[in-house]
Amino acid sequence: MKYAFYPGCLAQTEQFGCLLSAKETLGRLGLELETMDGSSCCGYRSYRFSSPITWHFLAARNMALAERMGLDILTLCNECNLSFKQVKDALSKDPQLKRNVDEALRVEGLEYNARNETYHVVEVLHDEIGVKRVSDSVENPLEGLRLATHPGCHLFRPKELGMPDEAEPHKLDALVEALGAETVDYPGKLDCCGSSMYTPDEGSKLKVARRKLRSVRESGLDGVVTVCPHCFRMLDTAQDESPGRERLRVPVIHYTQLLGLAMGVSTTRLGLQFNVSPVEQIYRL
Amino acid sequence: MDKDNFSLRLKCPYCDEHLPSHKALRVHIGKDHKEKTDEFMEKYFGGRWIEVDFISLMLRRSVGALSEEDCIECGGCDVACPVSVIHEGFRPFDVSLQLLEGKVREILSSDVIWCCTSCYACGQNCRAGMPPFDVIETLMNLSARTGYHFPRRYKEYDNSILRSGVIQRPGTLKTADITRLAREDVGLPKLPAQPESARFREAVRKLADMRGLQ
Repeated sequence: MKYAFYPGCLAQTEQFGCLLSAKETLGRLGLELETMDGSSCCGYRSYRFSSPITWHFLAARNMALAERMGLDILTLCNECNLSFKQVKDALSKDPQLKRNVDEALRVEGLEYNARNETYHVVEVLHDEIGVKRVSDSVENPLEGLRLATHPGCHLFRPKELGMPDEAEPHKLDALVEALGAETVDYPGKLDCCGSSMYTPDEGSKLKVARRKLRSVRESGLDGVVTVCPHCFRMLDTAQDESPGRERLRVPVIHYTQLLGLAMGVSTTRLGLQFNVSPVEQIYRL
Repeated sequence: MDKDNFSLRLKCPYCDEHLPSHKALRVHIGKDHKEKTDEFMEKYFGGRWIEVDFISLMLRRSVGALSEEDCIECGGCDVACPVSVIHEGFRPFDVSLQLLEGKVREILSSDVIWCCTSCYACGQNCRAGMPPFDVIETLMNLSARTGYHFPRRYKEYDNSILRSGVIQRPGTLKTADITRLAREDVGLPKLPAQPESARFREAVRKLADMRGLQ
């Protein structure tokens, strides 16, 4: 199985744990990940507001690059996945928009014909590789761990677009349980991490994340598993950002890092040294 | 709460006239309140008319969708919203109501819509099938493009994408104990090649000319 590999900006430039662990574990499961040379940001977090047509262009451009490679896209990021799906949908419904985007694509000699699909890594692991093969790859079952999962909004919303998981998401839970750990529901499981909240008042944004983390802690769980680099950054890196508050100290681990631990991969190869939260509480249990 | 009420937003600020579109309002100001033209353009729209025409079209579409169904005022969107719980100023329900009352300027001049995280939870909980998230996204768009507000971080992302393709330069590697490491020390894969700068920028410039149309 071969995919055009689109990690998304954040995994490539900041959240290296997500990138390293994905490459390591997906490779071991037999996926071939082709680098997308010339690719760019999908535009979801910036041009979507300042210039929607540029957003449509950026997303279409990346899909066109993958189309030229003859491959479907595998992305690590919930937002990129949503972005590609929304743009594909919009271009199929609005011929004028498509014509304008095509015109800009021609400048670089590109063409977009909607011949490929975008898949989120959870979709590929759950539907394509299958829970059984994931489970077979486990060397050190993570028995005794009780974990919270954070699927992240755009894994299952908006449901009209055919998202990677269903309205009551279960795929991430199944994938965590395949590693021998237990998943436990907690209040606010499907709530947003707050990552894309931009107001003059940065404190509010942290409040959304802290509410979630506090719920995990109060449920007595060993940590949270994320699948989107944005959620990961918000819950892991930002959890102690507001000074003067109580430190939450909730371990946050990205799913592919957890998978790697179960496969017996060394912590450095999974980028666990980059997690800011006390993730060692998970793997030293 | 119907489309007619929404057109209240096009009431002339200098007299009691109601106009059917932004274009008509502009013509009216130019004709009947000549001395106010500059003030009006600057005050309300930063002088960017192409943008405003486009956005008003989008707003009419969104509001059209919003008014087709009757909001049953169940407040389900507020209950589902993870932000309204912690941030008093933000209620998706209030934004929808304000918009239907034609209070576009009031919405835009408070930065509150930028609290929306695009999580789409309000849509999932909407019993009338008229989720606020679409409308809020359009309003953010309007706000950014008419110069009311655009978060600094996003502006930096925009510029960075033009320079290097991605939202930010690969950062210094930080670890929990704040050791700094070089990229190759930890075996990080090479970044994909950047877009070819000149042609990439040319394509984006081309799009800037079309912004008024799309």
